[in-house]
Amino acid sequence: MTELRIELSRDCAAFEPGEELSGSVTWSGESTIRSLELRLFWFTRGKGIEDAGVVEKLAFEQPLPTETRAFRFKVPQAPYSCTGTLVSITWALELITYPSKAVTRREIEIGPGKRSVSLESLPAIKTGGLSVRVGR
Amino acid sequence: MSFPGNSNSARPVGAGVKFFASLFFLVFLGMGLVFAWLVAREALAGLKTWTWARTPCEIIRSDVRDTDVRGRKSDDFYFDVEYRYDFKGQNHSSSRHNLKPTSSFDYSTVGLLTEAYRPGSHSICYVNPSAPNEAVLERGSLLFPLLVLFPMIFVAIGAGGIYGTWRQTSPSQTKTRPISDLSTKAVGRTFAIVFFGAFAVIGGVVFYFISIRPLSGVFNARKWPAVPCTVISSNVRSHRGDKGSTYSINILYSYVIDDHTYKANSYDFIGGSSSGYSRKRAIVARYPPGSTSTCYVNPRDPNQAVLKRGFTPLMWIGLLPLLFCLVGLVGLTSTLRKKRQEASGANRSIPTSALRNLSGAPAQDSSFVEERSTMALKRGTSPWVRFVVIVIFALFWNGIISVFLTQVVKGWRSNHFEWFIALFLIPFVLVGLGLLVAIGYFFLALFNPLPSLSVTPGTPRLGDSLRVDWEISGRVESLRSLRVRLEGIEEVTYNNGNKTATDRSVFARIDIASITLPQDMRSGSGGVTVPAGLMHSFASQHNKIAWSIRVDGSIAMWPDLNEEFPLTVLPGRPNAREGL
Repeated sequence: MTELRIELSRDCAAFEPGEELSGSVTWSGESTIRSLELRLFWFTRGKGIEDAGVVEKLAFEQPLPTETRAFRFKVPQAPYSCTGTLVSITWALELITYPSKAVTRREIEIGPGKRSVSLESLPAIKTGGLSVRVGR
Repeated sequence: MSFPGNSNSARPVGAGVKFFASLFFLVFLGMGLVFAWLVAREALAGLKTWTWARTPCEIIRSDVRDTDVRGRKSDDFYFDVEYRYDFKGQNHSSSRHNLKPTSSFDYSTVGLLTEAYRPGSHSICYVNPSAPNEAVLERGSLLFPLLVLFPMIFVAIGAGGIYGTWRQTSPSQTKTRPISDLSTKAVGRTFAIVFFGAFAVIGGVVFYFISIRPLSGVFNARKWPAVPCTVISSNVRSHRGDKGSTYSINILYSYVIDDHTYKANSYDFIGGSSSGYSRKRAIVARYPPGSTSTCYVNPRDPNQAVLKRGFTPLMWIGLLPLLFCLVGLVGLTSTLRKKRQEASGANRSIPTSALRNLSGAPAQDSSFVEERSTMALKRGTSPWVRFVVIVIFALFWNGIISVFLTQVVKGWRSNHFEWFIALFLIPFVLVGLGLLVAIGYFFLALFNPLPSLSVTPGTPRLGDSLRVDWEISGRVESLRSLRVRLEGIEEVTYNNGNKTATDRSVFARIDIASITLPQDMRSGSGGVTVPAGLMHSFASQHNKIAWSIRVDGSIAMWPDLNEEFPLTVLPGRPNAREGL
């Protein structure tokens, strides 16, 4: 059983766009790991079909069966983490082993004030249609 | 780690659902296996003839007959042949052209065979060495075995479905998949390419056979010589099908070319059968047996002749598969274009219009195109596009419905009213009528006043002040009120059964101007601050956060003015965010 861990260099998992995001990844227990990859990506949750976008990748080649390595990314300017009525955008780090594709992930927040943006639904206004009012 | 919001994890399926799913797939599997077996049996028999001995033979008899192998009167024409051959010192004779009787509804197809195998001529036949009295003139097709692939699609669907239904997916066996792999997911697109590709190919092939080929025949036949011909027999052939009978004109006539008598039964170039008996009966009545007429004969192949060589109204039907083909091509082009765009700008989240490069680089601040000067906004969808789309869709829908409706009306007129089909058609006819009303609505909307907008800055950031200038051309005096608003929406595409649907939710609506005086409507400007605490524009394949400026106007006794001008809102300025 492979044990995978992503540690951030600070306690808080929230970041301003443009900040530095650093930490370390640890793996142990499996000698057949040929390589690992750490991905910084966003993905969507909610009513819609899920989408994801990987913005940065870091490869760890020639790994030992048990090892800890450091990583550093620059936090992208966009998209912000966001929670809406239909869709939420979430940022995460994902550590994947090859060829077994074992995975662990750690969610983070990216946004102004290190906060996720909250979107609330407004009542719909009826538009369109054939207006039948006559006269002023 | 679990993701309750995402649907990547397998959900347990009830036994009842599994049972009915298995039944459904079992029908697919069973039908597929039966058809595969039938095709395979015939293919194998055909392939065996390739091991038969090649033997010289002499044709004794060669003719076309209108009775089947049992001597019953048939609508088709059969190739009647007899030949003799010597095999291992013994005389044999056979009357098989192929393993199965050779027949066609077109006389000239069989007539060509009588030309190829004239009585007294010598040919080659293939003799079964283990049963020398069994021989054929033509061996089985080597391409026919490929047909087995078609029923195997059903077998694969059935077997795969049953396997998928009963496959164990206990939590311990479910492996967590990297969510980030979704960024390279393309199953839906592959399906769209296959679906639209099949539409385009099938539509194109059918269009060729029922339109291009007959039209090329009409074109070529302009130079065919007119030859006197004598009608041998004439009748309307009836073809029974699942959805009632169809009819075809069958006029057999003979003509003489270079002292040789030929026969043909083609009336025109479109051929085939269709609904509508009375029109065909009227045509047949003009060609009674024994009468003389004029036919047009292909000088290169005197077996080919027609009684009518011009364009017939039935050829308009050929445009229907062209529509299918066009729908397929448009869908295919759009899917491939989307794929190319995504490949060039992989993983982007800011709309393309706001990106300086499409290299797929991380969305850093430098990659945004920040337009600080005034920019004219493009309208979301032009009224003309809406009108053309609804006209095409209505034509397509009502074209298909009208085929079935005509059958029902004809049935009613001939006292064979089909109640079930009529009731079944009601909702489809209502949708068709609704589409006609929609055409009227969108046509009137073409004459609405036309707004044009410009904004400063062209691509505002969250927290920026935005100036909006508008000008309205056309019948401004018809507007009773006008509202200009900044609006932010969430838009998602989701699976709803076996189709996809789109849902929208408005999260920001800010008035820029609200006018009731006509003299103030023609042009004006207003200002608004894009809220700093909200979300910038975001666009992925199925999810969108979009900003726009809406111009809504109410018009008495007329479709209202509702125009949307998409606007790209960039993330807030870093120094401005520090103040938050």
